[in-house]
Amino acid sequence: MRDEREFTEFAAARSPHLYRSALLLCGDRHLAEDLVQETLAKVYVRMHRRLGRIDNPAGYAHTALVRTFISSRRRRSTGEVTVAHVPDSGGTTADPDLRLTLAAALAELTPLDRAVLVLRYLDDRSVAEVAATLSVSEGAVRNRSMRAIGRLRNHLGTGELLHS
Amino acid sequence: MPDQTELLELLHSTPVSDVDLSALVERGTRRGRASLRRRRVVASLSTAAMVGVVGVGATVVPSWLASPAAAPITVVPAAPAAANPDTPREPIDPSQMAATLASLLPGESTDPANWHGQGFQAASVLLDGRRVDVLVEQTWSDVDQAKAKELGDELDSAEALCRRASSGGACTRVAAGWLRTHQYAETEQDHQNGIVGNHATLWTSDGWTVIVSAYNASGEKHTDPVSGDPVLTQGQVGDLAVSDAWFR
Repeated sequence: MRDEREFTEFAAARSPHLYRSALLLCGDRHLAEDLVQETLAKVYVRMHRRLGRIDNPAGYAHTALVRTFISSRRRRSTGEVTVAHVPDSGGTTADPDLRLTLAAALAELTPLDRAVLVLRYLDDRSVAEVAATLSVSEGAVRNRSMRAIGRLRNHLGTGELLHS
Repeated sequence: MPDQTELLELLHSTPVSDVDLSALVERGTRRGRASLRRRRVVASLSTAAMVGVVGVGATVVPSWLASPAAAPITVVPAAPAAANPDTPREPIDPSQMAATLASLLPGESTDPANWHGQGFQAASVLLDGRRVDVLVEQTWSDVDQAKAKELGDELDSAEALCRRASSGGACTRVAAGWLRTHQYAETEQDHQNGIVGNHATLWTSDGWTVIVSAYNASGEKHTDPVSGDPVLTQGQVGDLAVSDAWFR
């Protein structure tokens, strides 16, 4: 994975998934793009340093993405952007209104709750893996996960944010 | 109310077709290259620098080199630079970097090497068989600046960058900007062979980053230490970093 071409192929293959996660985490296209760029830069550096091969490059990239997001939210605690806007483009069968509501509901969650959701349900990580990635206890992951899912289901069920 | 399966499908269906992913990859790659370059560009010259290393005889080695940790700061006293963000300076000709570095060091240095690319220029020399290198680069690339402008965002200041750096050491206000000096031992898993470097990073107020490193070996990696201490102290690399000699 050390040469330029291999990295580019890896990045091209993973970038849709990384961008999707970033969009769910950030709720804003520009911030999501920046997050993916920063993540790819970190993966690039890691791959090109002589630290041995990355066993699971995709997992490494996703972990880097979420950790970068969390640390950036900590740095910009007063600059949180909660934009309930998911670009309405094609390529999906999901109801656009439902997606807008999802974005609004996600924006209401804390950054850590969003990270838990993305890792647990989008990246399909185990509770233990999510706990390790986010440096929280497994119990905290379970609690946050249940709470976040509950809130999303409530919002999506009532559509209250869609019309607020 | 959707069940959990529908919710998961919804998460997975978040569209990604609104973004130019290939451009995203390109920008991420470029940012990664810049980051890697910042750390290792000079080290990439180490193989070349190893060739033809000439041992410096004890008779020509300044006495302070024998005990760098206790040495007075004897780099040539070029005036510390002052920087004005409204009138950014230009670095010296890239081909003059190594000669300039050598001129600031006491004693005789060998194996000068220059290196430059988009937005940066670097040089290295060997002093008493131990490596000293300098890197001058744009703190924010043109891409960074364009993106910030597009987003209406403000780029971090020299002070913010200095304070945020996690490399250790303390941040000090200097005439040209903000300076951080620190020491670290190389810890890469397969090269834990006792190489130690003293490093100084200056973030200037007019948009440049100057990094000076001094090692206890002829390279950052893939070589054996020549001594226990780096060839220059943290104070000395700091003095080199704040020198005005890197700018026209």
